[in-house]
Amino acid sequence: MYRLIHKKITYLDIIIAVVFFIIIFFILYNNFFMKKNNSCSLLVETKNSKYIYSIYQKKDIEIMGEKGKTHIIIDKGKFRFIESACPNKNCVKMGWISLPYYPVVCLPNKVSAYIVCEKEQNEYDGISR
Amino acid sequence: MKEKQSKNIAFFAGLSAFIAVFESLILPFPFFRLGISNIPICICFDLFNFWECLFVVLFKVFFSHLFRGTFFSYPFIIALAGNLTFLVIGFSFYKLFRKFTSFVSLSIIGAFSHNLGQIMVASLFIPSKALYFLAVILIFIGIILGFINGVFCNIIYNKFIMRLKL
Repeated sequence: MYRLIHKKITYLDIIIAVVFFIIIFFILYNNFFMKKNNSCSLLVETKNSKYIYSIYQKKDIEIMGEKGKTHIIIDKGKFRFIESACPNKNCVKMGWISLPYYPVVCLPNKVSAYIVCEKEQNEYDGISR
Repeated sequence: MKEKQSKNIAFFAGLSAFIAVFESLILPFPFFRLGISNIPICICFDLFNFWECLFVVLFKVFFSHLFRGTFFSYPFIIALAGNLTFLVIGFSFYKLFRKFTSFVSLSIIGAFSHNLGQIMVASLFIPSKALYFLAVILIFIGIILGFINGVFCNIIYNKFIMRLKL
């Protein structure tokens, strides 16, 4: 066994912290904050299929998962899980979600939902060569 | 000497498992933890060899999930994967750069590798691209908490471990 050394924050610690922080912040910034002119929709995925709904409406959806039905409500820009055929109801406890790409996942029933935003194609209609 | 070492391993394994259970009681979220239970494990990396650290990590995961009632369920498998990735990457990093770094960078690397392992295994269970976005948020919060945990780890190491001469 070797001798115990007194521990202090070193330069390498600070460099590692800063590098990690910048990389992750850059990825976060690119994915979440650079979405200005977007059209968003709700993407619901099960093990075998995908469903896309407009997020700017009022709608009740029932999705068939692996264990049973999952009831989702869309309400003008936000959505939430109301009921699900899972034991813990963690997905229901997540509440209303309006943030793009913030997922609500029901693991036992294998249903996940999140808001996807795509950049509108209004800048260019096409490419001429 | 060997008996003292065994006692220390048992002490750290118990402490880490206890903090893991306590942590899950104070935070109601299903996948979000502060990572305080990794402070004893980081200190173990300095005091013990790889196999002894493996025992501490496995004891923590098994005991805490047995106590929470999630033994051999999805969270258990995900947590086990995260902890083992943390052990392999964190231990090798610490042994290589021990002289140049403190627990702060170990904690940050640990938080990153822990989340990475969890996300890789979770991708087997969650049939969605949404996991990628969750991963970015988790790793971002993990790095901030890793830094704070690392500072506390340094303080605990200097105040208690150096004085007790474990």
